[in-house]
Amino acid sequence: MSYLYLAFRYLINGKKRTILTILGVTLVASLLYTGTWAVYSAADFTWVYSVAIRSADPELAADLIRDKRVECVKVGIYDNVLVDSNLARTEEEHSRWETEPILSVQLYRPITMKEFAEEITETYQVETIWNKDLFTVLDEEKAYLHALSLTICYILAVVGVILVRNSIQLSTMEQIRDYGNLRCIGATRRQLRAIVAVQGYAEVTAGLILALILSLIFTDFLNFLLQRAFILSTLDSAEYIGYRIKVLPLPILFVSSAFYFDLFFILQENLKRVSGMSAVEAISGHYRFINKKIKPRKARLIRRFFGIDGEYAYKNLMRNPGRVWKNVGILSVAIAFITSALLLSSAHLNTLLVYQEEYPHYQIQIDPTNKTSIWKYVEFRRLQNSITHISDPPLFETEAIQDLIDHGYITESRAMYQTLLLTSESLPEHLDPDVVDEVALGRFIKEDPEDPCFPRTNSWTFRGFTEEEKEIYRSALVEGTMDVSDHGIILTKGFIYTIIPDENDPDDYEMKFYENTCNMNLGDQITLPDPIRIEELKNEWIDQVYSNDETMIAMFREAYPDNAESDKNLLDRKSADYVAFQRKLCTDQYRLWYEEAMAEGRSKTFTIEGILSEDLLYETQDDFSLLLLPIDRYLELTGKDENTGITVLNYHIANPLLFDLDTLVTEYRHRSDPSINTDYLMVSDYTSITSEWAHDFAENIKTYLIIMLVIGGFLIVAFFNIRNTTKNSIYLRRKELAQLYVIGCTRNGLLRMIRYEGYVSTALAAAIGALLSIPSIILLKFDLMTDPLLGEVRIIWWIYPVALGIGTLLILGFYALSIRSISKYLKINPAEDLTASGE
Amino acid sequence: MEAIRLEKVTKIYGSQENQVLALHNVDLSIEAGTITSIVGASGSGKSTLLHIIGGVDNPTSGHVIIDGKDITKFSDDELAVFRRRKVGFVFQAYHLIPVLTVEENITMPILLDHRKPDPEYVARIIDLLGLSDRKTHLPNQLSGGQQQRAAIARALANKPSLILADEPTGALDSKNGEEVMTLLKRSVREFGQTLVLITHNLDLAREADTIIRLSDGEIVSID
Repeated sequence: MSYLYLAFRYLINGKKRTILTILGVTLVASLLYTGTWAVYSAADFTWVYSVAIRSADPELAADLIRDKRVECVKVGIYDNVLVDSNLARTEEEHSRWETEPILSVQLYRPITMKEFAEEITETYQVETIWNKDLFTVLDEEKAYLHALSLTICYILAVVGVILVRNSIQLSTMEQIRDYGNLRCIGATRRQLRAIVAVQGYAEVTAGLILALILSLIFTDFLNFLLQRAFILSTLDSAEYIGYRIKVLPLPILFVSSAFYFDLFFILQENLKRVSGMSAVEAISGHYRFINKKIKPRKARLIRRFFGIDGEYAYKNLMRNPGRVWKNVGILSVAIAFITSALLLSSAHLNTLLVYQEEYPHYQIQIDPTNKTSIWKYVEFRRLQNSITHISDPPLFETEAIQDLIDHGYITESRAMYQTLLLTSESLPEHLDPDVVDEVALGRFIKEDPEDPCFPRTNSWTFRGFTEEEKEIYRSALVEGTMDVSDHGIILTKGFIYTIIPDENDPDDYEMKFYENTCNMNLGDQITLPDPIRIEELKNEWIDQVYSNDETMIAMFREAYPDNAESDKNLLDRKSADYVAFQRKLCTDQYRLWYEEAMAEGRSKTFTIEGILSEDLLYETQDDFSLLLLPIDRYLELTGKDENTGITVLNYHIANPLLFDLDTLVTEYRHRSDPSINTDYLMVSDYTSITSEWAHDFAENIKTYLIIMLVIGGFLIVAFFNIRNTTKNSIYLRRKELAQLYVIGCTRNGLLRMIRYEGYVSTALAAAIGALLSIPSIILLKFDLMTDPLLGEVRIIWWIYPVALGIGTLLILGFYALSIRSISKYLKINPAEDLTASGE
Repeated sequence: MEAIRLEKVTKIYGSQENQVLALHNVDLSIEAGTITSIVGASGSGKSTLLHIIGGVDNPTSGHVIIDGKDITKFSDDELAVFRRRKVGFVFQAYHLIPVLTVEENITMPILLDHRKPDPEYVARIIDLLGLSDRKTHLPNQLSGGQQQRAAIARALANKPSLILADEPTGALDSKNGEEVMTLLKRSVREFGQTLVLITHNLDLAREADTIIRLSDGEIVSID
């Protein structure tokens, strides 16, 4: 046994403070661990990003494998490694590289990929692409979030130091007389220092160990939340969604070292006091812990308003202005944090609520037989249903859909029986003249002239409805009946829009809206070809074309003389059995097949017996018109049965929070031209802007989540600090308080004086906190995020004073709690306390 | 044999106009194994004299020779070692470490000396001072008399040659005071120690072998 066990006896004896100090250190350190892990993980999460080198030279590959910076090298076709490697995806690069053999290089430190790519280009004279998304995520816009996290970490570190400092100082003061006794019975200064130091190191070490455990829990929890927020992360090639906080050893070392380093200096301060005290001073109670000269101050005004209690509180505060400002500093930061957090949260909540109505729902429709046919629809109601967003989302696997269902995102799912029939001549009088002209020329209106894969406007979508769906549709019935006859059909009346390329400038799109081009009424007839026959003709033609490579290439070149793809590429695409490529080949044949089917008499005429409201259009492809008929007749028409006839799985996805946009919408792309006039935005611009905005929004939500946790921790630490400081102050002045008690001041009177001190500190802190919280408003107003479609974030301005008030009241509450919890220290024993040491 | 010798010991507190002369040219010699009482009015320098003898405080000038060694020439650490090996203090306010039990308080000087306590000896002291049933108690669980007895036991723990007691019965009622004094005297006799005690109680003082009277920092009589 050693005399050092006295240190542990002190810790056990003051177990409440010991536990609080350890908890304080635990909380601060765990937040620091988690914060630093989060910051460093952000730079580290990019590990899947690769550099693509436009070469398949084995010698170059061998050189790369030997390079110490390189983790692995893959050889493949660019198009195949694109998703896995998350390479740059500009249209130009994509079209040039699409079928090129490349080397995909994974670096140990992807952050250096730009330099690496440039070096490879220079050394080997080959083209390289490195992922630009990495730097999108790490660009300046995001840097401030990291800076903010780091600032919070630093503030927490300072708070942690003050907490430990207060605790150790208080312990030392309480034990000072014991140290005097120990000096008398033969303890050397070094032994006394060891007793004090062991207490500090034991508390901090215990706190740091617990912090490690707590931070692992925090990290797991945050990762859970992040995963929850980005539920589809594993399904998307965009790796920023796959962000995870990683447990890294270096931050542990940094944080722990910082604590021990700080503790070392804190202890020096106290050890100096302990060893500088003489035994006589300590045992006689005449030791002055802090030697400060007290200046005379006048406080007539304060006395007039707050009485002698207020005057005493003021004079006492001014006795040690440094301590007051230190205290006020911490409190003001706490108030600023509370104010900012409430303001930002309310702004976000308000924005969410407002936008919730404008982004009400999403749908995913999946053709289970063909993954490339997945479509997603987002309706912008604010634009009066004039535009529907259509884009290619990432491929959703069955597991992903199940995942969505498990997490409650999907509110409705149903199989849909739907097929697409072409009608170029059956109803020309009902179509817009421009469209009719295009159709008459045998050309289909294409969304993208460079990619004529998808026929658009001149087609009808047929859908079979079940009895259950019939009831759903009935609510949208405008006129006629849902109970149609054998030749009856139901029309969903709405608009058609299309994009027609300018003949003089193929890159210049002109968007046209054809409102109510389907001027069809009840009783109108529609003659449609037999879809079974169309499919047969198509397959026959495909087989014929594919049977001879030269024929296929010749036909393709004839149809698309401007296409620069090599013969090899075309054959690759054929062998890969790309559906899109088949469609590309078939596009101009549809008209012929249609005519052939009609000539063979393989057609049927329907009469419109019911018309549905266009409100249903959010779930349709708007450049197609939707015709509904009962499921049995639909199956008869298409020649399929209930199992094989399912062409689309339709899922309604609830949108509880707007950041779902980011997880569900397409890959993130930069808006090409920020100055674009929103009145004439292209569909693709909407996609980009919305995605970008949603991405930022999600990033911010994620950051606020972390900040809110930090604030919670900060408040708890602030409470500890208030408690310690107040207790410290009482302890230092207990002789003086005893004197006041002896001359007639009651215990409540003493408490009131101490409370006044708290009020003054809080009032000062509230004023400074109000100023400190202004930058958060500026961030929110000008920089943090904007919504290019719908305007800026909706700030609730009256929240600012309310939040400030709540912050101030919280701190006052902390004071009240602190004073209540330490009021036992005000049980004055004049005989003892009048001889006490202290300031 | 001479246990304590003071030569021209002067102690001045404060500086310049605030100077207080606590002791002035004090010469003193105390034989080993005797009991010496120091009496005098408040502020006469009694406690200062005791502190200087015990190596707690340093004289402004003069020499303090304990067991033939001039402790005024000791370094701070040497003084600490001197105190824990040669001196046992007993204070009016007991000055026990509140977080330690009676037994732990008693063994603390031994532990500070990096030695293992001799359980038999510790038990003997505890027994001698009537604390056997109180050794696991904390100081605040003891009466004043018991606390002072624990303080005496602590003073005896390192078998010091010198026991310095500063009004050991000052905070006790007369019955407890007598009891403590009897125990203290019995202990020093039993272990052959030199006891120097400060007291205001003249009856107690008379029980000593020598009575030293102090006034304004000077010895006015030695009886």
